[in-house]
Amino acid sequence: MIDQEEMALAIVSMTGLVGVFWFFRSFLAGYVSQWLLRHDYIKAAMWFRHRVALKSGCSRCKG
Amino acid sequence: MIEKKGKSLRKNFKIALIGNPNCGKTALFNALTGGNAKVGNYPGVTVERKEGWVSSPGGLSFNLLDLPGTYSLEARTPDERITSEVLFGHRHEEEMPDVLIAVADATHLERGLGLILELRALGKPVVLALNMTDLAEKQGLMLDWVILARELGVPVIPTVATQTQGVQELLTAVEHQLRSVGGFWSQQVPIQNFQISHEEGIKRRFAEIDRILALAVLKPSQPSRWTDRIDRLVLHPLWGSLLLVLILGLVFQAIFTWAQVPMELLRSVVGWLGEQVAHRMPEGPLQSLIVDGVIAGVGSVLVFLPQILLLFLFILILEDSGYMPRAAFLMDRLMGRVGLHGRAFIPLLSSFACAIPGIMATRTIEDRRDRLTTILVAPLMTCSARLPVYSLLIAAFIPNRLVLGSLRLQGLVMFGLYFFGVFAALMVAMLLRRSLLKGPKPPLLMELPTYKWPSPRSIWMGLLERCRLFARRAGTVILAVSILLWFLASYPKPLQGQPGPAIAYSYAGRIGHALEPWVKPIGFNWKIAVALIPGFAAREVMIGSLATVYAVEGQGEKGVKDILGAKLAKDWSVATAMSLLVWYVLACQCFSTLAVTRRETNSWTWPGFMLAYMTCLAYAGSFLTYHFAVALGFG
Repeated sequence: MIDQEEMALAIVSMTGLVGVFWFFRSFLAGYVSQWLLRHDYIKAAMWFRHRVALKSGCSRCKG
Repeated sequence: MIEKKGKSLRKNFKIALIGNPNCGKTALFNALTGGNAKVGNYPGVTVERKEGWVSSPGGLSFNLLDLPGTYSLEARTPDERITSEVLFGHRHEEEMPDVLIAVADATHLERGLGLILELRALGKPVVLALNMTDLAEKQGLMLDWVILARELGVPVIPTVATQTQGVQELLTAVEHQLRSVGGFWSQQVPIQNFQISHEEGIKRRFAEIDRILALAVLKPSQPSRWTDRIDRLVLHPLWGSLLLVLILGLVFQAIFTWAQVPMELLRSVVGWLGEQVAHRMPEGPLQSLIVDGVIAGVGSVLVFLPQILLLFLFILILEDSGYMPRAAFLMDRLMGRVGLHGRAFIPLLSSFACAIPGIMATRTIEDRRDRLTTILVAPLMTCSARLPVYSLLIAAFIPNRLVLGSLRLQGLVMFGLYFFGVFAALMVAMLLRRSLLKGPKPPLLMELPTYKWPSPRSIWMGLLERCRLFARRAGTVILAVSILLWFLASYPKPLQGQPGPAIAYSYAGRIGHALEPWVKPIGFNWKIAVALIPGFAAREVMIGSLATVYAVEGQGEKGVKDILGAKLAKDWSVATAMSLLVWYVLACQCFSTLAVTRRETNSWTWPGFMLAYMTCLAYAGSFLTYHFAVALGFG
């Protein structure tokens, strides 16, 4: 038997977490692509920049 | 990738579609890709970027890029600038196209030829898609595309994009161009020699256009009079205006009447789903989350899908038939009186769907003050996200009786709300143009296209796109807000023995009660105050929020299966409902609108001003409405 309260609160927390990530997605995408660049993961950084950061509207990548 | 000149070709090629606005470029894009497209924005600007995928008869794969419409590569608006930048290779994130498909409207070839001559001067492989050849034929225009191809030096393929005619031939021609150049072309664009902005260059270009037209196009001695005949009525200052009001009135009547059956069906499916889950799951917080949070919240918004689709069906038909520019022409006189530029009509009209594309469409307005005025009043036009709120309140509080013969009162009230939004926008524009944004009004120059039958295919694709957007919003923002609001309305639980409903002790209850003194003068209760906050994420979210708050509040009330409208009718007065309707007409309840205004104006000043003036206007409007209604005995 599942604990309904625990389950409901887990769903609420996950939703909140995803919501916060979604809201700050452009900032996060920018930081990740810059971190990759700083650590010389050029290919990964370019992939991330084109596939994720630019689509999220990240101002750091609009160059 | 294999790149051997003249022998084998790369796997993927980039093809760009370029043409004047309204030449059928997007219809051709849809015909080529079959709707298999990815829509986004160009980085750094809010210009839509549309990319699709298509295979040629010879087995080549193309990435098809739909570039913003332009009359010239000498860009004047942000949209046109994108097209030029992509073609000149100035946008680093965008790979340069291998082949250009120039799309030209066969009925207005003189306009399209200028752009084609500019494209040809770029020295890139070009294929000309001569679109709307069926209409040209009906108008009696005789086009010799063999001569046209010879004179332009590019392959010419006649197409009817709305019927997918000529699509395979076009792809074959593109493939042929690629094979003949081996998939290569110079990244060096002869931009230095490309000086059409010089007076001499422009004169030469016009002379060349006239020469080619004289050789390739034979105009009918007696032009088609159908468009002229219809326009005599449609553009008449009195009859045309009456017709416009009649058409809009019919649209709102139909939205209410025709959507009833599918809406009831959706409502019963949502109700059935809620009951099934409630029966199959033991009572508890998880059951409450699913039934009162997710199903009540998302379901209450989803039932309005038929009305939204009907609204878009009418908008698409009016757009496709060529009526919309006529409506703009009719409205220009009125708009001119309040100081709005004629070009503001299309952005304001787009704002009936959503203020965001409307605000983005203001990029076609060159003057900064004209553009700012249009941006600031665009959110006052009734967007489709307001439709569910209006429908819910009208259905709950306005009797559905016949008035003035065969008109339904509910439809009339809906029409009145739309009209009120337009009226408010015009008044605000007038005030702005006479104070903050004073300046002369430039004349309107616009071309009226010929009438044509709306294409069922493009209407279907337009509706499908709206369906997708609505479902995505319901499955993301509305779902998330419903879940979070359920939590806020359910926790913390009251201590044993505490009097009153449990929701009054919850976070939502506390927030609502804290806000109540601010909203009480305009007739709102604390539950409306709570629902208005998530309504900033998307206007229709307010319905989901109200549904969740009322569902959580009604927990444990056995036998209460009322739909949201019935619950509101029991809890609110007519004066409160009217006040909320006025609030929704005038308030800037949309964070995305503020964000896009920030991007378009490149400052927080104007979105801040927009939020401030609209909130003050809404508060004053709701205050007056509420107290007037109470004085009339509707309290």
